[in-house]
Parts: sequence; C-alpha cells; structure tokens
Amino acid sequence: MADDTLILGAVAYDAKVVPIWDGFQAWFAKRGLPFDYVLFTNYERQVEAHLRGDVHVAWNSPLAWIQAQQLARKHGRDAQAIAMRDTDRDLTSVVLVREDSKVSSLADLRGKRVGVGAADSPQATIIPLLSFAEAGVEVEVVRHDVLVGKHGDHIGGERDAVKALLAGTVDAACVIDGNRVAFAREGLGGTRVIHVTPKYDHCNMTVFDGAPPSIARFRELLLSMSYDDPEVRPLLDMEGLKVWQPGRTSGYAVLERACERFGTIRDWVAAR
Amino acid sequence: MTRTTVDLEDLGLDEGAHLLIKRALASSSEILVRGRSPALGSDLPAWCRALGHRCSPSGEGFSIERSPHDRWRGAERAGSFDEPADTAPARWGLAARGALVEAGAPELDLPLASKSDFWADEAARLYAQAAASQWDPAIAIPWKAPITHPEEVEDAIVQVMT
Repeated sequence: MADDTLILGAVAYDAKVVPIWDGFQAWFAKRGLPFDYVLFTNYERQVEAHLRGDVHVAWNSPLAWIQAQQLARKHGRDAQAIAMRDTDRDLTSVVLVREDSKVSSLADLRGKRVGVGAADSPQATIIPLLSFAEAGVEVEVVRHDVLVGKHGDHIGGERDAVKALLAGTVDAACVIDGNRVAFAREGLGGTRVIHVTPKYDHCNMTVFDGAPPSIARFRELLLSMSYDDPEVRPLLDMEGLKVWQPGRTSGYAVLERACERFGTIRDWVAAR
Repeated sequence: MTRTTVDLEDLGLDEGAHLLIKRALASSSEILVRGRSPALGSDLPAWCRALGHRCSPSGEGFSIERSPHDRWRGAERAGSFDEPADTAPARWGLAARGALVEAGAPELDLPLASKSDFWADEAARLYAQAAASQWDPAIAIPWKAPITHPEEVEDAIVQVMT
C-alpha cells in the first residue's frame, strides 16, 4: 500500500520542537491526516532535502524561504508559501544604543562597533545591516555567531549583542523589535531605539510544485486551529502564535534586497 | 462610542506600561494608547503582535483592538476555597482550592483524589494540639551553658548536627 503520510521538515532550534511536532502529529492524526516530521540541524540542508523530495513541506525561516525560492527558480520549479503564523507578519528590527549614549541616528554610528546576531539571522543581522548600507553608513560589524545554520531562531546571538552593548564593548546592537522589552525583563534594560527597519515577514510553510494532494488538507487543518481549543493551545503557545494565517510573499522584499546587496546566498545557490 | 484612552506619559513598555494597557483592554475591546516613550512605536506593535491584539497608528497614538483569543475560555475553578470538594478531577492538577484552572492542562495521575480517602475535618484541630504540646527549643535547651570542650570538637559537632 502506498504511504500517503505527509512529511514536514523543521529545524531543531530548541528542544521544544519535539513536543510541538509530536503534538501536532497527534492532532492531525485525530483528524484523519497521516503526518510525520523530520528534523534538521540547519535550514540549508532542509531546503536541499525539500527540493530533493525527502520532505513534502518545509517550515522555513525567511532566509530559507528565499533560498528555496531561488533554488526552485534555478531548477525550473515553483515555490509557494502556503501558511504562516500571525506573528510572522509585519515585524521590524531595531537598532539600540545605551540610554545614556549621545548617538541619535544611524549616521552617528559611522566607524563605530555595531553588535549583530548570528551571520545568517535576518532579523538581527541581515536586515538591520541593510539599513546601515542604504544610509551609506559604514560600521565595524561585531557578529555573535550563535548556532549558525538556524537563521537566528535561537536569539542567543541577539542577547549576546545586547549584553555587549551594555558592557560597552559595542556602541549599538541590533535585535528584533519584541526582544528589546523581552531582554529588559531579563535584566538587560537601559537601551534606547535609534532606528526601526521597514516591516518584513518571517517564517512560512513552503511547498514546491508536485507536493502531494494532502497538502491542501494540511493547510486547511492549520488554518482551522483555534486558540480556544484547549487541546491545541499549548502547541500554539510553544510555537509562538495565536492563529495560522494564509501564506503571503509580499513581506520578503526587504530581505530579498539585503540578500541581493550583500550576496548572502549567492554562492550557496550557485553551487546547487 | 468614545474609546478608552490610555495616556502612558513617558512610561515605556520595559517599565511596566503593558500593565496599564492590559487593564484597559480587560474592560474595553478597543482603546487608544498615547505616550511619549521614544520606543513606543516599536515596542507597542511588537507587544500587540505577540498577544494577538491588532495595533495601528491613530492620530498621535495607537489604536489597539483586543485579541479575540482568550486562554481563559473554558477555565474552571478548582472547587471552593471554603470547603474541599468530594472529588478532585485530574484536570485540576495541583491547583489550590478555588484557583482558576485553564482548560487543557495535563491530567496528572493522582490516586488520592477523593476527600473520603484522606481528609479529616478535625485535622486542623489535631495539628494545633500537636503544635501546642511540642517542646519549645528556646526553653528546653540551655543555650547559655558554657562550652568547655575544644573549639575543634565544637566545629565537628556543629557540622554533624547541621
């Protein structure tokens, strides 16, 4: 008998991804969708495996979405974003300085040290650095390469950048908007925002052409999940959303522009 | 209808402003938030996004529509504070009597869940009686008795006794 199990690929950025996807698997099974998942340590291998057909749908970071899209285009394939979290829409990143700093604009940071997250973090590195580049401000970039390959999912790099800012070893730090207050609650307060990036979207559920028919049922079930449902609410809490939304690709222009300017994934795509 | 306005003045979300916003949203489904904190423009939309509230610029502030998602829907009280229930359902977990328990909590395996198995109405009286007849270390031990043994022996006794 043919195996019609739908396979999802996800990156293990935290131990909680196991109970998350175990929980979703059980929830899908109760609703008649055979489902399984494969974990990867990094998005690059996930995108390759997805294109190869080892998984049917990939829970991709925004950078992984762009990698998938460009790789698909190169090989005559088509990539679609079929769903995303409500919390994946309209994010911004912020450039922080110490409260008592005299810096009030990006231009004031010319030649100074700017702490960013991991090299492949769209929110804490790539997008904020685009702001500096487009403003014509050259800075000394101080990276905090925590768990490279996970595209900044871990946020450890951002936290280290803020610690460095407060310790005075960098003059500014770049983080996703919500982490300024989150880190302040951890005792890393005393920062001021001097720049807010344009809005951008974050993760999405990516499929390539040729995905099995059960993808439609998977999407339907995702969009049907209700925060009021006590069975699924703990999973939504762990995954950081209140509701799944239809996928959209209108929110990736800023990251696409950054990747083009910095050549972030050019060599990677060229080699495949 | 006039919307409730929350004027945060210069209080930032990293300084507790979210508590004022939360309180206003508890009684109004749509509010207007104003404030002078320089980071409000990035902190507030991020806070709203995480909680599912809709946030949009409005005049000199931000309009916030309360999230339709409520984790307390379906929550129930773990019996009454005054009197223990005859049986405690597993879904109450280890909640204190009368506490509000969110729906969907894991059901622990707690075999002692019936009042008749282990509850005694006079337990409090028995405890008070036992406590009253317990020896008082302040009186029973001669704390002022002189220490005549060597310091090393005292140190060893202290270590063993603690």
